Amino acid sequence: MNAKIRITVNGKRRILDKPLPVRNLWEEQKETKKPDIVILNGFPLDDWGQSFVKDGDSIVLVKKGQMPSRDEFESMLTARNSPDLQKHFRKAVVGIAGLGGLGSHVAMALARTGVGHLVLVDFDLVEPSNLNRQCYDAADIGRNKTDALADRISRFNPFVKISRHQLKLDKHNVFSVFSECDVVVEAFDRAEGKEMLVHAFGSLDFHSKCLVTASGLAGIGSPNDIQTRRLTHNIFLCGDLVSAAKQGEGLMAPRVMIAAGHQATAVLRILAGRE
Amino acid sequence: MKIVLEFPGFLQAGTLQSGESLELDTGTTVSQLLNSLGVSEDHQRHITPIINQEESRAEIELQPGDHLFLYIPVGGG
Repeated sequence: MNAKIRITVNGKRRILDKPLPVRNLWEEQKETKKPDIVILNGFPLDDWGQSFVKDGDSIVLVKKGQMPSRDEFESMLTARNSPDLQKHFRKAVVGIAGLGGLGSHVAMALARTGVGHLVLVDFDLVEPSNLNRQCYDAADIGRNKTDALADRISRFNPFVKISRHQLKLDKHNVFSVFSECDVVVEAFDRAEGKEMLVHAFGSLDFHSKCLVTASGLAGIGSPNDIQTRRLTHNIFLCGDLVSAAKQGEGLMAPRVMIAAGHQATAVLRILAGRE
Repeated sequence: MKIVLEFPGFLQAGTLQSGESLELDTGTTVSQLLNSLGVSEDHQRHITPIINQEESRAEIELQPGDHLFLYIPVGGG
């Protein structure tokens, strides 16, 4: 009796009774159209009309420029992240307060990772001066940041749920805007906004939710000075704690993106129960 | 009594280095400590004291063995 052949096709596991030519993988599934490219174990396959799959193979069937189905996309994320992590990320609701240098990159990172629901909040429009570090391009200038970022995310992950709030957060509306969230990312530019959110999460209303705040990321100081530390049971702080944005100490893409990477990683660790 | 004090590098706190332990009189409040270290009024207004990983207030009396972190947000994002 032949041993079973275990393979993955576009992230989904399949078990075959016998070796099959690669082309049978889509011919036997009516919904799968003939691919433009076949990637076998990470490498494009030139003679895919002739090749047979073998046990352990990973096959990706690609239609150029076409988004995979929700099911396929979720399978690929699960394969990348592991089922255990992905189940936490998929059901999570993460708020992002401010969609500038920090917030736009945090949102992109979390959407790419597969967080299920993002609550995007900013009152501002994209300006030319934002392009040095924020995740927008010239075509976005003059648009609401909430809309521009939601559109950008939808081009690589149209399945993430996005709630948009084009408003200025304050100590009164913050509780209703983020009421659904498990974790909120503080990504404001001004110190007063950072302080307001830290106090909100120090209050009983948000005692069971986590905040990931940032402080100290301007200039070209050592990237290794940017760290993540736990301030309280539910507040995490990313940054070097020192480098404020000021004349001669501007906000530049590399350190801003490093701090955003710290924030996004802290969010994922919280969601995974590792903090 | 002894406590450990941590603060961002831009804060001027006399000759004290962040992370050092210091000896205080029993009953010293956070506010009294900041005054004795010469921390400016402007900075004090924006300081959130975090004592043993819990948000606290300037008028709270410190206890032996406390870990005090002075959180001051700096702008940029």
